[in-house]
Amino acid sequence: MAETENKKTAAPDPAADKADETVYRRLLSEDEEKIYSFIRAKIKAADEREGTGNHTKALVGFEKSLNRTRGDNLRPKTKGKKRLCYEHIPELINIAGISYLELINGISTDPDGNPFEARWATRQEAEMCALCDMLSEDKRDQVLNLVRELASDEVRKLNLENADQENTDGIIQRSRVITADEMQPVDKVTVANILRAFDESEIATRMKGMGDANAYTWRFRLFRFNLIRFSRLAHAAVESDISLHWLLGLDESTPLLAKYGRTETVMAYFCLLPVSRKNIVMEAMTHTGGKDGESA
Amino acid sequence: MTSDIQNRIAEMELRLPYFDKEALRSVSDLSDRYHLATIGADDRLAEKYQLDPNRLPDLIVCQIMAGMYIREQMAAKGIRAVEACELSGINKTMISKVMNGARPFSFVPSVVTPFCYNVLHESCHKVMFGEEGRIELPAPYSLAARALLGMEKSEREAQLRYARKQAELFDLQYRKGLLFPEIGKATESSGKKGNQNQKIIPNAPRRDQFLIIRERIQEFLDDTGRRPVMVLGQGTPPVIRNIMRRLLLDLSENPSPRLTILMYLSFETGLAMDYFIAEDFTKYVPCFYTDENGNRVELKDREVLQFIGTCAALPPETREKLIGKAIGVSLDSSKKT
Repeated sequence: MAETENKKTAAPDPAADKADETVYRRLLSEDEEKIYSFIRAKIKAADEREGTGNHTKALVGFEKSLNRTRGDNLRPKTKGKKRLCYEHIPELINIAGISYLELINGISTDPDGNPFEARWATRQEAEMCALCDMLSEDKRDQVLNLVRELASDEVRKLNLENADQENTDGIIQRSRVITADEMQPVDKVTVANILRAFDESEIATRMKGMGDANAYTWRFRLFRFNLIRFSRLAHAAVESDISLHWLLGLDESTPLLAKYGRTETVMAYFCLLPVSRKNIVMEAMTHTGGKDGESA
Repeated sequence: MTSDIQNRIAEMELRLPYFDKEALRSVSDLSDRYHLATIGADDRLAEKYQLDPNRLPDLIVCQIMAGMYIREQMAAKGIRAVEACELSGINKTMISKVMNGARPFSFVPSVVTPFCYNVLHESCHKVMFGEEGRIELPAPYSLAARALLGMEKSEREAQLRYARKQAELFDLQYRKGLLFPEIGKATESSGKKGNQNQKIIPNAPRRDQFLIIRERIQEFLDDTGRRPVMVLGQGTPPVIRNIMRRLLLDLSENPSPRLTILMYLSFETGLAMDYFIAEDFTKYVPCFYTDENGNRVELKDREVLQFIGTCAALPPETREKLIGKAIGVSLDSSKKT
């Protein structure tokens, strides 16, 4: 089945590409199985820890909805294997109660077995993230309101434009850009490694033709074909110096480096503030009694 | 040149405001607008944009009118030129020339503020444009104002006290030359050089004037999410573009923007001139902040205005600390309640 699909993608005709888009909007089955098995293990552990079956129920509900949405006219699809897309992953990690980073490291296929070491671009951002995670939930909401007021739409837009001068209306503005060092592997992954990841599908022939294409083109391509291994995406993010949130088109609230989704949203605004305003927020955080606040 | 100005003054009458801002805004071409506003009246442009040739929106006219206004006010209040000289630091001859209409009121910004505040007790915007200006506080000040207004009186006073202490500390350090040792040495050796005048005259900037201008422009740009070129438009003439570049980016030079440029900037941004040149811009200009519902409300609480004025006069690091502390304390107290 996969071979026939790959043959279809080899056709350079853009009209054919468009027709095949839905077919290729999924992960490789290999990664899909890994993700499922990892998520199931986490869910089982969480259910045992909490003594409830809530996580498992949520997963069953998710699988049902997955079948329903993939059928035509919202009819449930009873035959065939369930397929995951990148867009389903945030929901899955929410159900399992894990962060994106855990998932990446859980299913990493790095031959050396090196886990990814995630960190913020600056020390100030890391501090802010840690402080925000320590706050109680309602206080975190207050901080979110604060950073939202300090980072107006215009300010964010300007900073996004400064991060990269290319204009991609409507796409880039939804997510945050931390241009460098957000995902940093312990062992530096070379470009050859990335290309090897692409080589595993015939899509690589098109990717290779792009040469030193910019990050935006990469993202368009990745989303269009979605045949790149999930576990290799983190490497791709590092190599192209872009945020994984942005690369995968994740929602701002998907936890990657922070403990809570709300903290990620706060950071999405915080990272795009001018320096002077970052200092103001940090000063405010130190006077909110953040360390005394109960953890949500 | 002098006789030209005198002739123009002789033909003029003091009218408020000095020029029609809408007329200047109607000039769509930005190069033409800048030319008309800063370089001088041009009949060709008046004809092109159908403007009243007797009332062209020319900033030099504003400066001449400001001289007339100053003469009127000083006569009405009984202030002599010598007193004005002592209170502002402007040369006595220059003040006399302005009052006699021999030259426009165009001085370096660091003496314009003390002159307007100490002698006339009016805002710089009123003196230079003949109309009341307004300042829409940038988001950090706005948030600090809201935070302070939401506090209890005792807490608010504590914040103000803390800000004043910081200001005193800065003043002390400045006077002893701890912050700027080179200025301190120059003052000790010669007695007349350095910042001696600035120390004596109230309302004169304690730091370099261009630092204040740079910070305020940067604040404005941060608040509106615009680049310098976006404020002044794509057709910004190279003159003003160079000045902005030197002010914001090139730290090697010491830019000293003319008063006309700052007036033009005030016109383009819609903020009162005091915001760009005065250390404490809250003294004579009404300030507006954004409330919870997103409406612009005039800030009338004197303590809050004093807090904002004190913060604005301090260097950025201290200012960020004070504002951040006020906001943080308000977040904390709202949690408790």
